Order: sequence, then C-alpha cells, then structure tokens
Amino acid sequence: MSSISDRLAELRKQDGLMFFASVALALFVIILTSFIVQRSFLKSKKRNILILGPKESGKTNLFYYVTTGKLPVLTVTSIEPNTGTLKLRHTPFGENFSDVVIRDFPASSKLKNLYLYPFLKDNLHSCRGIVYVIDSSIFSGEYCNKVANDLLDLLQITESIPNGVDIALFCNKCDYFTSRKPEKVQTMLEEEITKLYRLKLKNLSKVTKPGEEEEAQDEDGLEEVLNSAFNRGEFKFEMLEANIDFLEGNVFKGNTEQLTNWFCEKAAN
Amino acid sequence: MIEQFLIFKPSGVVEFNYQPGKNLVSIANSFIEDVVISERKFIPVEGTEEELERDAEDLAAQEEKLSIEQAIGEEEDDLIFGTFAKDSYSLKYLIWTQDKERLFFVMIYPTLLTVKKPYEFLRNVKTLWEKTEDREKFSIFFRLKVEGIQEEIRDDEVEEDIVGENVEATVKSELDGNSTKKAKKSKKGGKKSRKWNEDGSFYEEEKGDNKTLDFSTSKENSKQSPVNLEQLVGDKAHFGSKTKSGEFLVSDLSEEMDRILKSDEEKKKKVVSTGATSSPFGFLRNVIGGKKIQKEDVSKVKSVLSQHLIKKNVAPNVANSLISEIEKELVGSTTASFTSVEETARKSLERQLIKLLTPNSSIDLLNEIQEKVGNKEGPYVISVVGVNGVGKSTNLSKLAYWFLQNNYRVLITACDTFRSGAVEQLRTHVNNLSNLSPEKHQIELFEGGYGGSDLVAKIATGAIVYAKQHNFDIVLLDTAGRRHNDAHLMTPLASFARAANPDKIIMVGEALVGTDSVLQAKNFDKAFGANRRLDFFIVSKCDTVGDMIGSMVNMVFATGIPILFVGTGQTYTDLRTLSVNWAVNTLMS
Ligand SMILES: Nc1nc2c(ncn2[C@@H]2O[C@H](COP(=O)(O)OP(=O)(O)OP(=O)(O)O)[C@@H](O)[C@H]2O)c(=O)[nH]1
Ligand SMILES: Nc1nc2c(ncn2[C@@H]2O[C@H](COP(=O)(O)OP(=O)(O)OP(=O)(O)O)[C@@H](O)[C@H]2O)c(=O)[nH]1
Ligand SMILES: [Mg+2]
Ligand SMILES: [Mg+2]
Repeated sequence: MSSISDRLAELRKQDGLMFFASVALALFVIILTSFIVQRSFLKSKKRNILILGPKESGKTNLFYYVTTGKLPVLTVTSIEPNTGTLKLRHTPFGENFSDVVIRDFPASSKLKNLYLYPFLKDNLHSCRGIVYVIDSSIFSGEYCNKVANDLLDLLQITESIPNGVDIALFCNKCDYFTSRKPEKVQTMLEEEITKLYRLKLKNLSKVTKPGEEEEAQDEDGLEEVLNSAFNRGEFKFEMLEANIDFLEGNVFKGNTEQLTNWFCEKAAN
Repeated sequence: MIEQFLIFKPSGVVEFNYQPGKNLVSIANSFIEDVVISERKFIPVEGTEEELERDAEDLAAQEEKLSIEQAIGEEEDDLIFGTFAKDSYSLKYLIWTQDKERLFFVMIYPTLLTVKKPYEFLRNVKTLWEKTEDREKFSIFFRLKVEGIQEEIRDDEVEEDIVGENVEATVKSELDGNSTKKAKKSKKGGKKSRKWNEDGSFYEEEKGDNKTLDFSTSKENSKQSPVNLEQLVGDKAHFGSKTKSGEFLVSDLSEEMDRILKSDEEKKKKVVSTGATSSPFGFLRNVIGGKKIQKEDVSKVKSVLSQHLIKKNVAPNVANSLISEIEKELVGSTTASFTSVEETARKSLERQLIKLLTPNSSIDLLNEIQEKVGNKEGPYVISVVGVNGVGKSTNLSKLAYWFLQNNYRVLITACDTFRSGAVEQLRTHVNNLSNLSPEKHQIELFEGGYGGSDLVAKIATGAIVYAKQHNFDIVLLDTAGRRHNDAHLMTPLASFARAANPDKIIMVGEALVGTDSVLQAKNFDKAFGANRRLDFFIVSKCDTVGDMIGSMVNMVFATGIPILFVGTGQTYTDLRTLSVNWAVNTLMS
C-alpha cells in the first residue's frame, strides 16, 4: 500500500518537474523568437541613404543640414559615421521621412574598410540611394583620379544587385569660381574610369589561402559586374544598372534644391 | 595665446569652438589624420643597442609624458592626454571616453609660446563641460578659465610691479590687485568699460565686442583671502542668474566653476577608494551581453589575445601595444547583446588590425607608371632593399615579369656589387624573362661589375641615363642585402637614394622573420635621410609560414608604411597584392 502511494507521490513530483521544465522551455522559446523577430524587423524596415565621398568635400555639413535643417558651427575630419533621420523642410512630404536613415561615412581608406564596406556587405539591399559628395572647386588631375578609383570600388559593390543603388553625384562648393560644372565632372570621370579599369584588369590578383586559389574567385568575379557598363571599352555612367544623377549645389548657402528633389524622389518610393 | 580651442565628436561635428583669431582647423585635421586614424604609438621595451639609441631620441617625448603624468596625478582610464605639433603650432589634446563615446578636447597655440599646465587646463575644461548642462554658461566658464591661464602667465611677467604697487594690501586686496592688472591690460588692449554690480563684483565689456567677459579668480588668490570672497559674493540667491543684458554674473559663475572643479576632485578620490564592485548576476551579463566591462575582465582576455598574436609571429611589444589600445577601447564600455567580453575583445582586435593594415591611400602602381611614362618624364625607377637572402632579386624579377606582361620595357640593374654571383643570378633571371616576354628586346640587364659603394651610385645613375636613351619605361634596381644594424652598409643607402632618386623604394621582408622585422623595417625606413622614406613593403615567402603572418603586422606597425605585395612562391607569377581581409582573417583564426 504504502509503496503505491509513495510511487504516486514520486510520479506527481516528476510531473511537476516536467511541467516546470516545459513552461520554462516555452518561455525561453517565446523570448528568444520575439527577440529575433524584433531584430530582423527593425533591420528590414529601415531605408538607408548614404553620404559618401572624398575627404573634406562637405559630407558632414550636408548630413547635418538634411537631418537638422541647420549647419554645424564647424567641422573637423570625421572618424566615425554619423547617423540620423531625414528631415526636409519646405517639401510636401514634410516629416514623412522619419524612417529614412541618413549615414555619413568617414572618407579615410582605413575607416572605409572599418565602417563602410562591412556596412554595405550587410545592408546593401536596404540602401535606397547614395549621395556621393565631391568638392567641385578642386576637381582635376589627382583629385579626379582618386574619385574615379573610389567610385570604381563602390560601383563594383552596388552594381552587384539587380538595379544597383542609385547615386547622386553631388558637386558641392559651387560657390567657388574655380568650381567645375557637373557635365564636365561627368565626362572627366568617365574618361578616368575607362583608363583605370583597363589598368585594373592588368593588376595582380589578391592573395588567397594556399589551395583555395580556385574557389576564391569571387573578387575577380566582382570586376565582371561592371563589364556591361563599358561600351566598346568606354565607360558610360548611363550604361550602369542604377541611375546616376550629376547634381550641383552648395551646402553652405543652403543651395541644395536639386539634391532635395532627389531625396524626395528616392525616399518616396 | 591659445589660438583655438575645439571640443568635437568623432563624427566630425564641433560642439564648441573658441577662436579669437584665424581658423586653425587644418591643424586639428592633421592631428586627426596622423594621431587618431593612423594610431602609431609604439611602446618601446627593453632591448638591443639600436633601441636604446632610439630611446635617447625619444627622450623629449618621455619628458613630455612625465609632465602629463604629473599634471593628471594618478592615471585615469577614460582620459587620454597627448601632444602633437605641426607648422609651428602645438596642439595638446584630451580624449575623453564615456560609454564608448569619445569626445575630443584640443587646444592649439603657437609653438613659440609655452602654456603652463596645459593638461590640467584641458582636464578642467572637460570637467566643466561634463558638469554644465547649459552650453551658454559653459562658454562663459571657458572664457573665465582661458583668461585665468593667460592671466597667470602675465602675472609672472608683471608680478614685481604689482607687488610694488599694492604695498598696503588690505581687505580689498583681491579686487584691487585684479583691477590693477586689468587696468594695465586695458591700456595695452582695446578700451573696456567696467560694470559693477551691487554685491561688489564687476565685469568688463570690451567696446564693440559685447560678449567678452574679463575677470579672473585664480585658485591661489581665493586661498589668500577666503573671507573677503565670501563677502564679495554676498547674495547667493543671485547664483546663476542673468543680468538685464542677459549675461551671467561673473563672480557667481567663477565661484560655481571652482566648486564644480573641486567637487570633481573629491568625487574622484571617492571612486578610487571604493574600487570596483562586482554585481551578482554578473556572470549572466557576461553571457547575454549588456555587461559593463571592467579592467579585470579585460586583463584575462588580454593575455589570451596577446598570446594568440605572438603565436602568429607578431612581436611581443607590438602585440602588447595593440592590446593596450583595445583595453582602452573596452574598459568602461558595455558589451552588445549576446556577446561575451571575449567576443567583444576579439571584434575589437579585428578592427584594430583592419585599421592598421589598410593603407592610408591606395597605391596604384600601374597608374603612376602610366602617368610618368605617358608624359615622357623619363623611366619609372623602382629600387628594392632589404637584409640578406630575403628575396630581393627574386621578387624584383617577379615585378619585372608583371611589367613585361603589361607591355612595358624593363631594364634590370645589378646594383649588388658585393656578393659574388649576384650579377650572374640576375642574368639568369633576365634570360628567363626575355624568353617569357611577349616581345623581343623587352628586357635587358644593366651591369657594372663588382666594387665599392661609390660604384653602386654610379651604376644606378648610368642605368637611368641608358634607359632614357634606349626608351625603357621602367628601371628596376637590385641592391645588395645588408644587415639593418650594420651602419657601415646602411649609410651608403642615403647617397644611393639621392643619386638614383627612385620613384619607389621597396623593402623586401621575409614572412619567416619574427620580432626582428620591427627593427628591420624601422632601420631601413630611416636609412634614406630625413626627406626620404620607404614607399612600401613586399613580404616574401608567405607560402612558407602558413598562418603565421605576424611579421606583416610588425613591419606596418613599426613604420606605418603599407604592404603592397606578398610573395607566395618561387615562380615569376607568385606575386599577389595584399588583401586586408585575408590577412586579418588569417591572423584571427
Ligand atoms: N565654400 C564652401 N565650403 C564648404 C561647403 N560645404 C562644406 N564646406 C567646407 O568644407 C570643409 C569640409 O566640410 P565637412 O562637412 O567637414 O567635410 P567632410 O566631407 O565631412 O570631411 P571629412 O569628414 O574630413 O571627410 C569645411 O571646412 C567646410 O567649411 C560649401 O558648400 N561651400
Ligand atoms: N618559397 C618562397 N621562396 C622565396 C620567395 N621569394 C624568394 N624566395 C627564395 O629565397 C631565396 C633567396 O632569394 P634571393 O632573391 O636571392 O634573395 P636576395 O634578397 O636577393 O638575396 P641577397 O641578394 O643575397 O641579399 C631564393 O631561393 C628564392 O627562391 C617566396 O615568396 N616564396
Ligand atoms: Mg565629415
Ligand atoms: Mg639578390
């Protein structure tokens, strides 16, 4: 008799344990899934517009202007990205852009490897557009070469997805009388990229782990991404998957009308 | 005096700008480029003769460090002090880290002037910034402080005068003393109108510049007459209020300012005494993230990571310098969700390595060559240097092969006039390459036999002239291997570089060599005199070391010079450009 009741008690105890264990497990699963869902949800909803370009072209000033409507007191070389939401005044869209995240990335090549490229790797699909800011007042020779090199690296990434990522090439500092017109900048860049691309194909390939030589071809594969943009060897922006607009303006005087329209267009759809 | 004072964020936005004269933002920008981004601080450790020699050079820097330490008292984890100089301006900086956010305080002044206790000043400004919500109020505090240190300096100059004038220093000495000084100053400077408040304090207005406040209560003064000050301040209800014109009452504010600074000092002492307390459930935090990282947590990880690096052939002092950089970044920060301290530290190290190995600007050799050759500016000259047997001649030939494939005409020059067989070795290479080249007569050997070091320069210049006459696009100069600590062989390098003036000087270093690579890189880098440095490295024999590629880190860390190519074997095609991702992954694996 006693043995049975003992056993029963034992069973009940086991049941209780099982119950607690399953409740704990269920709770754990719920918490975990909600956490993961929340994470991926947040990630997918954001729309990003990036501000890139060579150093001291006016990226941070532009960032500040389109996120706050004001200009900063002063800026120094950026070493970390800036993040904020788009706030355009004087447009019919007004505050509708609060889910558009603007990111201003530092220009130094060390820092691009640290922030920009990893970011693009993970978030390329949520990029609605890129504002590529250049200083049009010093746009010649070496500067043009640097920009072309940088664009070539960038385009190899952005053109790897269907339709690419639209780019506004913003010729800033048009208040200087030395500044180049967007049309001129475009032709100069096209010539320079044509030249560079030919050289790039001749460059030595990158080092890989011994034995992995064959499968690690994706970096070379990337270069093929741009092949269709070369018409008989000549590079043309219009041949790219994405739309590239050449705009002109001057952040200092708030002369960013062309850019504002571009922002509205990109953020609206 | 202080020409500019900036408080800015890493994002590049300046939060506060004090700038009485011209804008010196370019100095601040070079500081950011050279110090903050490139981060090349090398912690010397005990070692060889060379290192001791170099230490002597660094003596000035060490004295500087000493004065920093004196200024800040005990060491603080969240504050980094330092100095930088450019174009006859000095820049003193303070980097304040709080919750992973950095804030930079920099002060720029002409090198000719000395500012007393600059670090204490920076620290005080930081405290004021931290404790003052109202930015307008802060800017007045700041002006008071600036006046303070400028005053102190002037005090030294005119001290005797003042003592002489104020013989009968009475109850009002404090004010009188100040006003005498003020009077003196206002004679020098522009006209000022002085406004007195009921409670006896006053402030001055510069005509035309209505925001400049001019008054100081330096600490020493207030200590001399504590009673008076109490009286003078009087109505405490006025504290922090504004006058009709919208300006703060000066004396109140300087009082408040001192109080802020003092309370901060006391608090600091308290923190030190209580020490770090570990909370229960800390272990959980370690798993799910959100843990505030303490120094102890890092120290465990530290040794693991530095052992890991050393195993990969990274020199111990380089590893330690890198790790201490990580420590600075981590202590006081909070781990992200679901990441442990170890993981966070690993990520941090990975970022450090990416930053280190990525060149400051991309080098596009073919483009540069094309530019020079296209413009008919003569042949493009490249020279390789390095210690014995590292693979100079082999990698020079690999370069030649690459250039030949790109249809350039290449002249290989035997500047190794010491080692017997060196010229013959090159001739073999040239014969091979000639057979492999797309067209005939695309490559030639220029030789001048064997001899002393003056012969080397002669051969080099001769080769360049020959190349010009015979339309060669590229001249490759092979030099003799030399021990980097053999002054007898290193000194001729300077005159060689002057004579040949190569467009690029490349040091070839072996992946096999460990700790020695630091000194190799350093010594070759400075062998060419003050105006010439190495342009980049080729790291050879990477195929022989597996994943122990630490000497790359050593060389770049020691000099800040980038690695362009890596040698991966003995055939002509075994030359690759360095992929930073590959290198970092290999180092971290
Ligand atoms: N004349 C003129 N100067 C401008 C304009 N926009 C920016 N600048 C100046 O250009 C410099 C660089 O501006 P930033 O906004 O800091 O440039 P950045 O691209 O963020 O620079 P980095 O962070 O160093 O890459 C500053 O000195 C600005 O004053 C403009 O429209 N006109
Ligand atoms: N496995 C491998 N061996 C290499 C590599 N580079 C060079 N070597 C070998 O290293 C040895 C020395 O190369 P050299 O080019 O003669 O070296 P050096 O620096 O010119 O030598 P000295 O002129 O005597 O100072 C040769 O046997 C090369 O085959 C490489 O990347 N991988
Ligand atoms: Mg910026
Ligand atoms: Mg040799």
